Amino acid sequence: MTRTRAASPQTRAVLDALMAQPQSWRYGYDLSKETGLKSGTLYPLLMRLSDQGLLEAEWREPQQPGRPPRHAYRLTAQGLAAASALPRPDASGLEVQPA
Amino acid sequence: MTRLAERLLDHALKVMPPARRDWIRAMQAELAYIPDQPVAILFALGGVWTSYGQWALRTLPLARLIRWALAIAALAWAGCYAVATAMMVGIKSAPGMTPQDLGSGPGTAANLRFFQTYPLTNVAVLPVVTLLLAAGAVLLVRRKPDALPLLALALTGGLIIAIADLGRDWPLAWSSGWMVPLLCLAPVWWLSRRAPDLRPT
Repeated sequence: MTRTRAASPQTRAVLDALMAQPQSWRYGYDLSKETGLKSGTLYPLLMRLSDQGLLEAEWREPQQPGRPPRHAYRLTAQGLAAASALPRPDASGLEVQPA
Repeated sequence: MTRLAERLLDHALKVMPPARRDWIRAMQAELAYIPDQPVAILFALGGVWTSYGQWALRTLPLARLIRWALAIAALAWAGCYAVATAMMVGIKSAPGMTPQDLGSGPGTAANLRFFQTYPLTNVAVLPVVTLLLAAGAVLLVRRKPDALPLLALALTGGLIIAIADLGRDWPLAWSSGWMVPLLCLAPVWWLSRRAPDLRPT
């Protein structure tokens, strides 16, 4: 039997943000604004997700000239599956396991 | 202000373990996309925090942290027991001592009565436990495996005293609390030594 550790609210916030547009590459500062997480919380989380194979990261050329390339992130297939399998709070606030 | 954020992240880059430096470079690149300077500085401070966290994880393995925590706990309580032993011996060698001789603070009379009636056999165990705790702490710091048997003996002595004192109205009952960190940390340290896979890489 495989045991999965419950995700922290911060991990859940990041996974939710990444899952909202699973095909899009997302950037650290934008994720920080969207989730409300400080960079000191966000980046260790991103590192851990990447170590676990749930997140892919790559350097992407800037959309506006004169700006530096950015490190971009999106969920891997495994990450998407893991994020989808997380229990979600229902209307009463209780967590329910996805079917 | 931009320069400060850049300098903070330059420092973070130096502290970060080499295998992780790309993450700080990622934060450095993000600075160009943060319009608000105070926000950029807070963002950079997060990078410094992250770097030191990663540095601590890489350079201070769990077993070492536990060993030092255990040694400090043992040494601290050896010190407390040494003071308790000195007080016991001092009070017992002056049978005519009154609460007024010690200053009549709240509880002085009860404490003095407790010390005066405390059995000599228990008093004799106190310095033994003190020495065992101190020797165990020193051996732990020197990474000697003999530390654990010594601490186990100290724990046994401490438990015997604590059990013997159960029936007494002991004003210093809290002092047995030294056994809690030792009881919790010693098996964890032992396990972490036997299972190197548990250590962070």
